[in-house]
Amino acid sequence: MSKPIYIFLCTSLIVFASISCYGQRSTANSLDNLFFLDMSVPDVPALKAIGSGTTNLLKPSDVKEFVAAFDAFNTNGSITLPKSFAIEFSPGKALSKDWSIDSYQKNPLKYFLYNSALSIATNEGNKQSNFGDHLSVGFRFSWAEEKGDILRDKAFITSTAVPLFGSIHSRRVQIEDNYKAKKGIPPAMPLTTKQKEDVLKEMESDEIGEMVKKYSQDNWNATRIDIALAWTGETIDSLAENLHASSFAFWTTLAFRLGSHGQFIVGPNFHWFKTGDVEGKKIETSIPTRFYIGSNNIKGFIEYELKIVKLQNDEDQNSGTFNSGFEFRVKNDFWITYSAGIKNFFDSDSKFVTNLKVNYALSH
Amino acid sequence: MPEIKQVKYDAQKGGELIVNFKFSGLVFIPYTFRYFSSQKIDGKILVQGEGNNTQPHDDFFVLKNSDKIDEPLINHNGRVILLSATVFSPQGAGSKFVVALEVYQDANGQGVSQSNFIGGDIFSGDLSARPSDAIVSMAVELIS
Repeated sequence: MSKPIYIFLCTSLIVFASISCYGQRSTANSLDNLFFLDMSVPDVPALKAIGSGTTNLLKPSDVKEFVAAFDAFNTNGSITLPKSFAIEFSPGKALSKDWSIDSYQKNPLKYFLYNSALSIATNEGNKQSNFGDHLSVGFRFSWAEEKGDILRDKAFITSTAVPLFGSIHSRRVQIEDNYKAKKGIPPAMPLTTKQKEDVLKEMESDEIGEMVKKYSQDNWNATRIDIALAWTGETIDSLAENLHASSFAFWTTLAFRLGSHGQFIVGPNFHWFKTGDVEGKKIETSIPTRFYIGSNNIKGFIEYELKIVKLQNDEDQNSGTFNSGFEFRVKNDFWITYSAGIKNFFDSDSKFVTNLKVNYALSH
Repeated sequence: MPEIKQVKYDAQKGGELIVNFKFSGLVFIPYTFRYFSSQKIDGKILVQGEGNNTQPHDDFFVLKNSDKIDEPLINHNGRVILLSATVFSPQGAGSKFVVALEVYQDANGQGVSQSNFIGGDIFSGDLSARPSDAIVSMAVELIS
């Protein structure tokens, strides 16, 4: 991998890991965290564009503030160091800190920014095959039905969130009254910072976290539409110089809720490749369909993808891939996806392929 | 000791005193407001109200002694308005928000208007810097 790109990615990961650790320490109390949904990590467009996974399906999910993805720990039976890295981040979530919930619900621009993310990925080329290193940048926008977005789910806010907040607040007022009586503080006096910390300790609870966790579990399979695109450049030297366009990709992924434990996904996508000379140009159209069954934390899937490759000055090549696998949460922030499938299923040159992917998402 | 800001009003001018609460930020804030008698130590609550800001709106309360609705304005001298709000933030760490307690004297029938504003207090919170900001506790004392 090109050194500047490698250094950039490593530095980004260290910085974000530090932010994550700091954030978790400073928000140990229950009141000021945990509203981010806890759903599985989506596929990163930039990583997908440089050839991650067995199929071209871009798995949708809610946009995270920060995601790191590592691909191909295990390819075709052999364990290797990851050769592809990616990060995805949402500037809109950073900008949203002074917005009101009402404005998020009513302002389309704010909604768009909050649910959009940028990504960057690199992978190491295969010098023996004369393929260079790749650098890809991507963009994603995710729309979810109201019931999949806790900030727009007015029924949930009214029936569950507001009563819970009211209940916790009432308990706080009671704790505060008792505290003042015990310490001899006049009832009309506001609390000092130290006194607020004492009250906060007494009212710690996981109720909000449990509420968000349950919401995520109930709505991991929400109906949603993701639109994404990515540009990929290729370089054959080690300093990322002479970077030239290699491919452009576009995805539209539709996910449909199937009962409580299922989800059906269809994700047509298009890749335009330019591998260095005119003769190498090709257009790849894929129509993957995937069926999930399970829960937010662990789920299995089966998948079929039809791929049509149009080569310049050549006939179209059609192929089909059967794929299956599972996805599960290892720890709070880490997700693993493993899949195994057969490429070119209907052809004589069919082959067995596997893929192992690790995703990290910054939690709160 | 925490600071209690003083808000001066004109008892001769007449009308009524109104308190308004304003909140901003991507947050849910349930709150309780209490209006205490002038004897701060005995903690007699004259008025208590509650609300939340899941949607931005003006939350104003007319400051009256619920036992003596028609008492003269001069009697409000020394009374304390205490706001207890609890912040829940969808953004978690890094959330910024503003809570404002505004007092108005409406002697001209215009209610909560800029010309009737006589003072108040404002609190800017940042949960990532100070988790205790989740608990907002602010008070103003009315002085004639």
